[in-house]
Amino acid sequence: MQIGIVWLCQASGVLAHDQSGSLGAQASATDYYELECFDDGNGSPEHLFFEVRGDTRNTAVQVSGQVVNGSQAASATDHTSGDSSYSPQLKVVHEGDNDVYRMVIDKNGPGVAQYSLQYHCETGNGVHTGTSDLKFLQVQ
Amino acid sequence: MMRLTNKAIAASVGTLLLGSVSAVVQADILDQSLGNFIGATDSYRITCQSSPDGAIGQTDHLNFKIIDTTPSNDGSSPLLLNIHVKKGSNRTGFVTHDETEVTPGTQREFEVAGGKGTYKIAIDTLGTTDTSKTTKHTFSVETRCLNDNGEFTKPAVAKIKTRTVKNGKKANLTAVCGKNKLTGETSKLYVKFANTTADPSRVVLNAQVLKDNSATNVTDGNGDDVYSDASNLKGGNGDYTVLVNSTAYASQQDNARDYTIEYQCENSANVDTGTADIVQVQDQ
Repeated sequence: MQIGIVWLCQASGVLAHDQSGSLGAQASATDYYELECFDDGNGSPEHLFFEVRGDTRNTAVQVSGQVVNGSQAASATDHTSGDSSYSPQLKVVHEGDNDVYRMVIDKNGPGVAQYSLQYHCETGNGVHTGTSDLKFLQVQ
Repeated sequence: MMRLTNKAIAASVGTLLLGSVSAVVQADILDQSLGNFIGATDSYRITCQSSPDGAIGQTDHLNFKIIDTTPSNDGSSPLLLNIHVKKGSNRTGFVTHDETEVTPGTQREFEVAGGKGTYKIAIDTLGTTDTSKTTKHTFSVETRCLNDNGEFTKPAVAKIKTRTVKNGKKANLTAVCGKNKLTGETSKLYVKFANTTADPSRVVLNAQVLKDNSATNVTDGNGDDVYSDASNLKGGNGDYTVLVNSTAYASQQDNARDYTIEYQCENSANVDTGTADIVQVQDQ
């Protein structure tokens, strides 16, 4: 069910939220984003859907992403960079009424790493709801 | 599960034995373990403040590093590659070089003194314990035709080829070296071979340090006694968030990790303010 929703969003080109980026050569390179979920008429947000994909081919470096909301955090890693598959999907349920999420993108070795994100806010029933633009906190 | 919190007394003892009267370095150390499930993340809040010793002053940054202490014999299946380079013929004789058991994420460099002509390069997967015929290995081969002085001959630049090979198969490449008008005849072939296969059985620990709008990441693999590089996130006094997670991907293997983190709040001269206070916020 979760996968079906995601594919529908991708096909529509309207509901899905994508972000491409590039982590620099330093092994510690880290990108840092913030977004907010809100009720756009589709219902109150309950969680953030998130997945990340490494897009650089022929590298052993793996791209990971973490989602932080209040005191909770979750992590996902795309184990093979350069293929069409994303990391396992994260569904981070908001803590109380805190609908501000921060996303950290990093990698486990040196070398430039291209990546793509898929993310959007959903209601408790898995309906896409208001998702703000990304705020770029740090780009490395 | 949190198991132990203590101080790196060894560091301070070492300082005292040397008779130093400078500030004693006491990094805080915490032993912990990360759960088996995919995406498990531990979270901490480390609070830094100004030192009670006015000469040391306020915290400038959090010094943090991590080490994976999981016993290395975890039954993982390496995805090995071997490279064989051969130059010559039955008539002139062969010059060969073999590099075996090249593990994912590692590389080998070597030279084959075969002169000008065609070098045959073969890559196979012998030794890999993963028996799936669909498992793919990726690699890159960089070759340079060089003279006796290590100068490029012909071609005058490095050639880099990237390929994929399935388990049990062999990949064949060639490098052709010739004479350069300026640098002369080829005497040897330089080869840099990199196994770029992503090995899902190799679980690596990642840790992120966050404060305000800044973030950094450190990584440590299993199997040695060496900590990750130290991160030094400049956030001043206040609460730093530390996340610890791993690249675990295959749910059928044991992904649990034991780890130790070492941290201290430091002023701009890298002197410990002695104020680090840690609270575990999430234990997975």
